[in-house]
Amino acid sequence: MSAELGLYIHLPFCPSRCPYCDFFALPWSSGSARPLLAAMHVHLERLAPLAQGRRLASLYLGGGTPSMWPARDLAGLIQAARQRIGLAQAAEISLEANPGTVSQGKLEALRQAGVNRLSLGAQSLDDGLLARLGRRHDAAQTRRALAAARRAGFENISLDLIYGLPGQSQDMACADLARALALEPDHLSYYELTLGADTPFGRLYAKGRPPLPGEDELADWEERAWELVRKAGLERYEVSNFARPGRRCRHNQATWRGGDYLALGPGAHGHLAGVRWAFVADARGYAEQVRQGGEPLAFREEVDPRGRGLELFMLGLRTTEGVDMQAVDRLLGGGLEKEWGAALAQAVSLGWARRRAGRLIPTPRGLTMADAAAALFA
Amino acid sequence: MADKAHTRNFSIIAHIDHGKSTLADRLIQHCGVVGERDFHNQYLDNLYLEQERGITIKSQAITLPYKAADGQIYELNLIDTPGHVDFTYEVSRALMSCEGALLVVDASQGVEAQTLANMYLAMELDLTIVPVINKIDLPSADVESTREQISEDLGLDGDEAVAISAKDGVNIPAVLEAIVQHLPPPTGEAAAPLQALIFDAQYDPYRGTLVFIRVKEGALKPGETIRFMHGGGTYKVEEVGIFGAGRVPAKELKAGQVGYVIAGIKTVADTNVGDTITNAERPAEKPLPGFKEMKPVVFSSIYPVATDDYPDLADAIEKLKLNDAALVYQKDSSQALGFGFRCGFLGLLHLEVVQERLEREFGLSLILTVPSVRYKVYLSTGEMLEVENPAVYPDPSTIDYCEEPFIKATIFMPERYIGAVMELCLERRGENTNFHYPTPGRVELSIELPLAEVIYDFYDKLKTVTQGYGSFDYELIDYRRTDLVKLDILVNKEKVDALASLVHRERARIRALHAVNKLKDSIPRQQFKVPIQGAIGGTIIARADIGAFRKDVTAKCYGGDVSRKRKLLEKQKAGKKRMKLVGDVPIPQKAFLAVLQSDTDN
Repeated sequence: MSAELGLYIHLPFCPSRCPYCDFFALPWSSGSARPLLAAMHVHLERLAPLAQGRRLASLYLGGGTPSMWPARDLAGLIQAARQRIGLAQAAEISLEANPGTVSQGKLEALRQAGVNRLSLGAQSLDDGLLARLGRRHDAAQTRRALAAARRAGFENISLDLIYGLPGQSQDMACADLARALALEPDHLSYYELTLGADTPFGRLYAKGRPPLPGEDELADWEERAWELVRKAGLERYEVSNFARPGRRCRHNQATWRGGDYLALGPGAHGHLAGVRWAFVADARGYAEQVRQGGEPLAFREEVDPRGRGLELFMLGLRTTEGVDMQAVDRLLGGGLEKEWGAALAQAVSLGWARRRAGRLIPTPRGLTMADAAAALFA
Repeated sequence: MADKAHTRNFSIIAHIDHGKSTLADRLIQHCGVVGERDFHNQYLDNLYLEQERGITIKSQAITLPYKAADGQIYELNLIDTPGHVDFTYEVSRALMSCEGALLVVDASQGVEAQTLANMYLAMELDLTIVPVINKIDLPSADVESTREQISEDLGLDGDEAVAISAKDGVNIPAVLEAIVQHLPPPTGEAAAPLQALIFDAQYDPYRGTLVFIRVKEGALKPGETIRFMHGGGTYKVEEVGIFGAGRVPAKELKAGQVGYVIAGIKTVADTNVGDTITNAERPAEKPLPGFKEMKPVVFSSIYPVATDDYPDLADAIEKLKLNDAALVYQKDSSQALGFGFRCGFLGLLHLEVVQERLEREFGLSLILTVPSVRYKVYLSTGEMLEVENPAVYPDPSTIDYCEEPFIKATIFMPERYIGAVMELCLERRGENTNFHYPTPGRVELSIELPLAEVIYDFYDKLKTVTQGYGSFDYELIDYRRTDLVKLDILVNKEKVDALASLVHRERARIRALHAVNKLKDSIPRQQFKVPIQGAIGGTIIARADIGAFRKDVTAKCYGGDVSRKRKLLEKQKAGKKRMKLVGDVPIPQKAFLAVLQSDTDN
């Protein structure tokens, strides 16, 4: 198993709440941002020993909209991670950015601070759809932000795109995708709209029902979309992620391989060798508990070997590199076939995966059925 | 206690919404039986369901002391009757306890089918009828034409009708005077052998069954031993009394009086409405006429949505039965739905009442199978079986022929809806149509229909095609030959027992299409194509396919999603174990509910 270590930092603030988003996010308020940042610095220092001497192979600043924080605050967090834990040679440092929140100067400062991978939340390049998504930025801003990032020296830029939106047709979706690909991103996260039960979209729409596209329709779009992406030189490596060679997101890949990552910030999740935990999704409560010397845990669980094995199937069957079955076998002390022999055979006979060189590798059909495939191992 | 000359026993007959309960309320208030503080609207309707929906399900009685214009005190016994066709027999027994009835007609709606049906019932029992025109306060009230309708449609004296507004309390004393002056006093001899008619019974958790009676002949008092002439049980009378603001114990009940008896009777089911109570030591020669055993005509199986709730359902049905003699049930089981009860009801409203009480009073979630009637199946051997449950329908090759119950329906409507109503009736296999035009613009249609076609969403459809103006009443007439088939519903080539139904061959395809389409929309996709079929024997008559899954994947799965997603997988696995598998397809409970829903919405 990979001995690499990552760090995920969650910065929960957003310029405004989007009606489809069910991530933990809060409207920006400097009154709570300042004490939170101070608490995160304290917390980071306290967490550092968990690394047990390992340096960070990846650092991921997610949210929320981390890019709306002043560049010096973000640089300060990166610097703190470097000092308290240490960064490996050529560590990947990702930042999620909203196109409306990044200026040329800010991008240069971030690049200077060590950020080497930028994930731009474009969502769409269709201004009509963006307005309906409740986004404040427009397509022109995305183009400007991308060009500015290039000028600032970013060589690994990802675009986030959503499809399957209310009122969107197949042709609209493909046109949107083509516009995004024309910007020549190094990486693309191409997501079907997820309806969170507690979001305005979730209350307004039902999956597969108008004005959302039907399930069969969506499956047709996807085949067309992936072909477009492939032709643009991006390779699919996870259900919703595509990259040029050498530009896959290392932080996320480590997650999908069952790797270790530390967590910082309210709502952040961490994992160390089968122990999973998350911090409270409450900026004030988090800061308060850290200040009082406590651990602001929302939950902590020790996953048993079978559960860890299930996680490896669940995550690995979403990636083109598949599941390292030898790793699963080691977790179970040699019990892979006994526990999952039947499920493995079924996954293969359904045409969802192939066994090759000690790995279980999903077929393209398997990737589209990844949830059902994972359920075989539950 | 008043003598016979100063006693009047009466009922109020009205169509739903014509203001029966409101009039009863005003009479009660005017006679001062209930203090203002204790009074609430629809005073006689005990069940919340009755108050909420404005319909009376059980009979009630109350004694009103009234000082008339002649200065004398009269004892007026008001017997409130159920107001729905399902309960026609109870209505007839309540009416039989009276000498007269007030017939309430809405001044703006005029005479309706149910009014007519109940009036005929009252006339058959030789009751004296006093017409009352209600709701004269409404702007749309037309008292004069209502008087004409009463004369022409009902053959009563429209000019004698008392015009009132029960809502505003207008002219209530005139109604009370009319009762005293126009209704005859009861007859009967207190010294004769006892004959008391049971018109309802109610369960009291402390005293056992409270039997509502009208003493026709003789008298009864505590300590005497009574016998039910049809039911056969003998009991010792613990208490008799009349109905005032509550139960008012009395020394005795004599011929002409209305009241109650408590005699250590354990459940309501031990009494039969219409039975005659007599004195065990000095019995009457014969019981009062007209006794009928109440027979359920509509059948359906009730299952809990969660199979583990079966014990709760069993407990609830048992409690309900204490107060509902008409409900019959026996244990039933389905491969798809687990344990439940096969129940018999007096009609669809009765079914609905039972369902609502189980759901609301006992907090249960239920699935009811398609309602069925009781068929007579004649076998080649000459043997006859009564079948109301598709599960026990015999092998068709052994059947000579079948018969199904028919009703005579009376439908009242404005003339402009004739076309639509006729179309509906003919589609439901109606025959022997008769039109009657009581007044210009209104039609009374009488038509014979199979009961099976009526219990399946007929009333809803009628309301729809007549935009709410059609009224409907029916009586069972006879059994007729029918081309009956058993319709099976198959999911992935396997029969779903709870969805089978008995249906006329001509109607089978429409039913089958409805079922397969509803299932198609409510069963989630599988990894393989799932055919949903409707079949008669080996012949498929309807089919819809659920396409195989093309896609089953969550768009996002990152570090923060792992725990939740793993737990979801584990939970789904547990959920799948509980779901019923038919032909390898898990069928959610909502799919059953969808099929059993009527298709009035499309």
